[in-house]
Amino acid sequence: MTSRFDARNQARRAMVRSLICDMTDASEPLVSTCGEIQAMSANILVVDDDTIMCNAMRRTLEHAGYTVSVAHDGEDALQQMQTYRPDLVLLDVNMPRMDGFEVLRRIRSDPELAAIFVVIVSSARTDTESQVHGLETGADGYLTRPISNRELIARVQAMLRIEAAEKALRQKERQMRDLIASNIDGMLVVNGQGHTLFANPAACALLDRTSQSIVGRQIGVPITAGEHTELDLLRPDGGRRVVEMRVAQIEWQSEPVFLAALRDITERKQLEEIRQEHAARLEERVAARTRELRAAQEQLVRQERLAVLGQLAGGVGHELRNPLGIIANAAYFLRLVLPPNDAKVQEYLQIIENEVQTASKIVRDLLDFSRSRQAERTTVAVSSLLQSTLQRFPPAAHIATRLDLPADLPAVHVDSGQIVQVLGNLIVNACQAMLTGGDLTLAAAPAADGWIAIHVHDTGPGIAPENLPRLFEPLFTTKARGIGLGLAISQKLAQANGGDISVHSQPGAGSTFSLHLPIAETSA
Amino acid sequence: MKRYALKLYITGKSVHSQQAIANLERLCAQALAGDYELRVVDVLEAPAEAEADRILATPTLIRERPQPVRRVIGDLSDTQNVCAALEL
Repeated sequence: MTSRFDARNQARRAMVRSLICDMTDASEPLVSTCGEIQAMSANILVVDDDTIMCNAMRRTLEHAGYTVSVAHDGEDALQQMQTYRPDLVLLDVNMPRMDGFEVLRRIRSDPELAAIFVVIVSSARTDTESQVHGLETGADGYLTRPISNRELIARVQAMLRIEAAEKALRQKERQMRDLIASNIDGMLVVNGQGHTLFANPAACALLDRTSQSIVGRQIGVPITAGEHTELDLLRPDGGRRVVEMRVAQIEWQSEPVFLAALRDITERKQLEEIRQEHAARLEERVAARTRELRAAQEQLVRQERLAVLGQLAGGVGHELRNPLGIIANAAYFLRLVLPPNDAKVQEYLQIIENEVQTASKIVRDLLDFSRSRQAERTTVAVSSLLQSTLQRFPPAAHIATRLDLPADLPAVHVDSGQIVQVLGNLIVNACQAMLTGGDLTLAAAPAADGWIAIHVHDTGPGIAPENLPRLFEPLFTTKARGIGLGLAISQKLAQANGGDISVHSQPGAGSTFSLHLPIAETSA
Repeated sequence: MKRYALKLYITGKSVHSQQAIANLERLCAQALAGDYELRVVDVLEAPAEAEADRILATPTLIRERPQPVRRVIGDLSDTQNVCAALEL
């Protein structure tokens, strides 16, 4: 409390100081020129032990329209002030028992009286030092005697104007304080060093702390770049509130300060988060559904294309079979009739026969691909499947073949002709990947529940990762001579037998094609 | 020893905390020319330290050195006023 009054008094003293001056003579008549000065109605208390002086002042002031009461000593003055609050006190310095400074000190130390406007009155002999002392004790003004009546009135009037202005200021301050205190948003008054000067009840509630534990803390200078900024408030229990802070610069007890308004947006934030989460999840679902639809559409397009391709391939294949047969027969006939010792002729005949064979293979593939022959599944041992495959498709001599076949492997339930074709395809591919030699490993082992896996592993260059997903697509090939139906047909046949083919490959580490086949139920 | 010692209190991954870090890094690069130490403290990870520093809100930026200690609260986007308040 004291500091507040100090601050105010300092400001007030600054205003009043200019009014101090030394006045010398007061030879004017008591009642002369006061009429021309308009008096404000006010209660003035004159405190002076000198009765004559006292009455003279009283008359002058009453004539000017003021209500005046007098006190002849300090005690009396203090008592009168308790019963009614004068607007202005003219306080004589030199009094017996309790001098004017002491009376002033008591007024200022009493919270009830501290705001009363007090003017010290002393004789002209008083030096500047004691005037300063008076002001430092908390006087609002200073008059020196002798003083003319006219001057006295003018002085009092000026003092009362200041007093009225101050009262209005005090009231405004109180109003502002009330506004801040009763605001529904949290309000913190923070000084230039970042120390909290005031926290309203809403701010205390937001921080879950008492006003005493907030005021005096160095919270920090509140700074917002735009209109507002977001803060997390920390509560003693570890809980948090998200607030939106707006900052204004105001004057608080004559000091420029920051007023930080804190609006609780915790719930709004939470709702926002939930909404965003929902939106994200919805988006994800839409994206997933879109992917599914696109995949289904692609699948459909592919199937349609394959159906057309199958029909076309079947037709072309069928039409090419006869001419190829005739070419082969013609080559055979030429071999019989042309001289066998002509090397050039024999070489070209061989070329014709080889190319006819390649063409026949392509035609066979096309027909296989277009016709879906029903699988005739029987129970057959894996070892016999592998043996017939190696007989029909023997690997080239420069390739070392290794067979890894456990003795107690269960039999599978497949069309052996079709599976031999599939395995043969895989072996031919493996050999073509190892033109300069390598190791071919054929390994069979039980896989997951009810399945046998037959792995065909080569030590070739491996398959580029970008080609892996397209490997089983019809007409996809990386070979210079091939139409890209081998693996597509193999996959189709494997699936017709209840199995499938998968591939693992890394560039530089060879490739492994794994054919999964269902175990025959009787042997399971 | 660097001339300035700064400590920034934030709360987890909240947007304004992340903004404060970004703004502060920009501010330091512009105004302090490398002559500073900066420590970012997450109150969720170090509640005791926040309590010891009597932190009421985040983001709070503390200038611990040179003395006297100065503090600001906010997202530090107003570089000019932040520098003024911290006397950087």
